[in-house]
Amino acid sequence: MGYYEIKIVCHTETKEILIALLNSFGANGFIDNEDTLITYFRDIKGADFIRDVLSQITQITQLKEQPTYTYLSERDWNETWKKRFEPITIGQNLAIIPPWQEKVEGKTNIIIDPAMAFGTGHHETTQRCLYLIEKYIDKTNKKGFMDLGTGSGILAITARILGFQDVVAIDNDILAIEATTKNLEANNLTDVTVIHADISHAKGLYDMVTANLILNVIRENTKNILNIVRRAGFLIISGLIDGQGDEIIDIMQKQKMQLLDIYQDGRWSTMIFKKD
Amino acid sequence: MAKKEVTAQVKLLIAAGKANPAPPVGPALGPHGINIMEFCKQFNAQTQSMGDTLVPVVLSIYKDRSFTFVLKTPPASELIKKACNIVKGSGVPNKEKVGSLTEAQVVEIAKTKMSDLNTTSLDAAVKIIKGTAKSMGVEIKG
Repeated sequence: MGYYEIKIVCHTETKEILIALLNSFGANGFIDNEDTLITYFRDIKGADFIRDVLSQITQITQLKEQPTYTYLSERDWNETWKKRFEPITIGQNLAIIPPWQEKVEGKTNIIIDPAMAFGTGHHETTQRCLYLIEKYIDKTNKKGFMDLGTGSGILAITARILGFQDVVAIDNDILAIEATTKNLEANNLTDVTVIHADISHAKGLYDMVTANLILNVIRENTKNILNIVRRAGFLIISGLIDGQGDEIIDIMQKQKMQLLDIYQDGRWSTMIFKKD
Repeated sequence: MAKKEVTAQVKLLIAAGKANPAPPVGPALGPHGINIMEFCKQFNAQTQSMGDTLVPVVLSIYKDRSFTFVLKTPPASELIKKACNIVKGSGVPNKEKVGSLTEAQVVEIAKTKMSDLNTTSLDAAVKIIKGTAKSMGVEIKG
């Protein structure tokens, strides 16, 4: 069993009519690609039926080109996607894997479901933050860690698995909170504090703070971010694009934050500071 | 988290509460490497109470393969079916009429759909709605 895929190049104003017509013939949903409408019929209907549909829509509507159809054999699209998913290895010893994959031998495996929340491990900024957490963790006493704008929870989960004792993740997006909670469960973690709030509500003192955010949010919350970094603690800032890093370095250095490292990954800057 | 870079936008029309990895969802989202089942679950959860209707959805896919989506207004044909209280359009629209709409109903549907019809002219939107109704075997009266 499979599907017939029909492609119709059409004017925008014809699209609504085509959708109505094809739907009345029993189409299985549509892909709307600007000037091309793509739809699918189960192959049980047969090629003659498809040719008849095409003939009817060509008579009723004015199309830019003759519509075409191809046969797609049955496959499990979700399984195909899962099989193609590669684990991500970062730094000395980290591997980011989805829940359905085998753990990578010899690595510290972090399980992250690559869903709606930002922080699947594929973005340069996430990868660089993970790299820096791993690189600098042994220079801390591994007590407090705060992740500002946690997304999928990937940085907080990694921090906890690498050994930070008191880990807090905060985000104002409910989707992020749900994703973090799910990912904590996947990693069998029960002692990470997850807070649904704006980062201005972050309180306490931490040995390491990660802020993979955007320039405006960092700029508006500078004072609060600095207040939660313990003396001699580390602050990792990322999410800065195309030279925005210079402004943050300037702000931080005026606040007696010592710049230890700066990385440029594509268009993205990530930096780590130490509080004097 | 960092500002998301949109790498692709995908527009689909799927039956409310019935998204699954089969076409059109699988072939549309598979090449972008996003979590197909997660999308289906979220879409179905948000549309399950919409009844038997096609729902347009626009997905924004980000560089790290995460995604968001927004639901749009149903296609004109769905609004027409609802206004006429019919289950489906006519298979032979030129010969068999299955319902009718008043001019006022056409204008109402045109206003609802205008933002999605790529036009700022109400007259143009009305023309599209009338064309769609005609193709479904729905007459315009009054």
